[in-house]
Amino acid sequence: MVAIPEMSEADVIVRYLSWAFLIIILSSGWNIIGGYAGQFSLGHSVFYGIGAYVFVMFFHTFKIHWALSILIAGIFSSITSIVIGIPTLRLRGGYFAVGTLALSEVMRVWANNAPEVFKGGVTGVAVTLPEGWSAIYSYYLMLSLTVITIVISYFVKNSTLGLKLRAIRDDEDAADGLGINVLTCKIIALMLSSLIVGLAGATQTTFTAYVSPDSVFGTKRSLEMVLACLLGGLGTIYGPVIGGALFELLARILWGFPHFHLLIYGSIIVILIVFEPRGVIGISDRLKHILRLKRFLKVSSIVGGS
Amino acid sequence: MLEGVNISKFFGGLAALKNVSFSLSKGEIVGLIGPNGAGKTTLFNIITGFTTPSSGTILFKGKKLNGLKPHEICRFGIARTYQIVKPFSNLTVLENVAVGVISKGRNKISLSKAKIEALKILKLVGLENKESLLARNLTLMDKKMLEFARALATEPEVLLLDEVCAGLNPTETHRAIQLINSLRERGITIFWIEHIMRAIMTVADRIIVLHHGEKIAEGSPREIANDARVIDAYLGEKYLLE
Repeated sequence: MVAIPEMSEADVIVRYLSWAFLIIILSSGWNIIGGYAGQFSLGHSVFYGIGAYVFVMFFHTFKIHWALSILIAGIFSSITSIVIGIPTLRLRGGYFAVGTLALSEVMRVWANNAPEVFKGGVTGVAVTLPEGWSAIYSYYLMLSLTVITIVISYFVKNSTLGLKLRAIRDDEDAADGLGINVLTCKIIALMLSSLIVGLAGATQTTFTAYVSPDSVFGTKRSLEMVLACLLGGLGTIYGPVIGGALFELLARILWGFPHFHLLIYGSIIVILIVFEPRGVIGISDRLKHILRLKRFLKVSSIVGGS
Repeated sequence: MLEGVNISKFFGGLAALKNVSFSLSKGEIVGLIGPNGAGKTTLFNIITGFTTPSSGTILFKGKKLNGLKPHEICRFGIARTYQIVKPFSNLTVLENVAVGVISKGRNKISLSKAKIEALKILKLVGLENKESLLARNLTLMDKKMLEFARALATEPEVLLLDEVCAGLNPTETHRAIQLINSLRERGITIFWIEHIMRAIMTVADRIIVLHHGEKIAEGSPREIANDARVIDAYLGEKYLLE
């Protein structure tokens, strides 16, 4: 995968891979609050969009170095998440999901109607990239951000914070009764999650070179990361990675059926939730279990025969 | 050690608790009995911060606990179990207990160290062979023991037990009683709601009886068993004859 950008004819593949990395980063980032902590945010496009717009502001308007701008965008997005998290994270289950979903639409409508805050207004803004910038740089940026995200995801899962989050997911009251400061833990998870999503939102502008309210804010973006995560396996380290890759692949295949692709997406999600809510990871666990059972039966029949 | 002064709780017009006072001294096992709806669990919820009292104060070592969150109260050294067990279903037995260990909050502890601590506590309640099972796959008895272990992991000075023997068979009840006795030896103060009289009458030092939110009696198990009001409200004539 790393070697592909060297091939000159592979521009298209580079782009496709960059998109795939983007969705992997987003769903891994979402997974920290949505999967580990079980707080089903349907408004993560807010952080994605803020990342993108803050990047435009610093890089495009203030002419600050692109790398620093990306970093500022991520941090800004993370700080915003505290402001959003303090009221919304007091809501539980479905109420949190609906609250964040509403927020996601509010941001989209606001961005469309406030060109003085969101540069370009409805029409969006084209980002002029630094001299000599090529798609390969974006590809490497995305690749490194993917690696960083997976590392963060791994450390969170295997830390005391991760254990606290998983306890909160299973039973908030019991966690509270055992001395866990539930709200603080949730806010830390949301900050980490929105930092990653915000960084991704900023980085993606380096290969889309364009930001508009409808492309970065809104329900569609919010749902994508959730769906990719569900597809791969909620609350696991590699689930969102597999899910993100599959999701992008599916999107490329369904490209050819513009009238049906949403229908097919929806059907896949419904089937998954009904039959295997743990996604691809869940399916592979089941297969492993069956294989082990078969091997066990084989061994026991040999022993029985002798 | 733990003291409640004139605690009342109204749900709308309904008085769940009316001017209930109690006091536990260190190392004591105090039983809390009474018919269903007497306000026993409400009292526990008030002590642990899940419910705010309408009036009255809770004092722990002379400090007021009113208005504190459950997690803050837990860190003071008051832990509880739940009448309807609340395991973290998708965590392993070991992880469940490790949650209690890491949130003690006194000093930071690494996850691997917390798991070693957790294993020691599991041995205490006899769950060490089931450490890697998911909590949702345990039997009721094991889930109750897990509640015990988790609460103990927070190193409580006072432990509130909400019907730990309910739904257990006689052998299991016996095991639970043994465990409670062993906790007394460790100097943990216990406040214990129970419906199984055989269990609580043999273990408790003192028993408080609630009825319709009011304290109708308090005394040694023997006094309670012979108290006319308690027999009338809760125990019934049959118990007297035994």
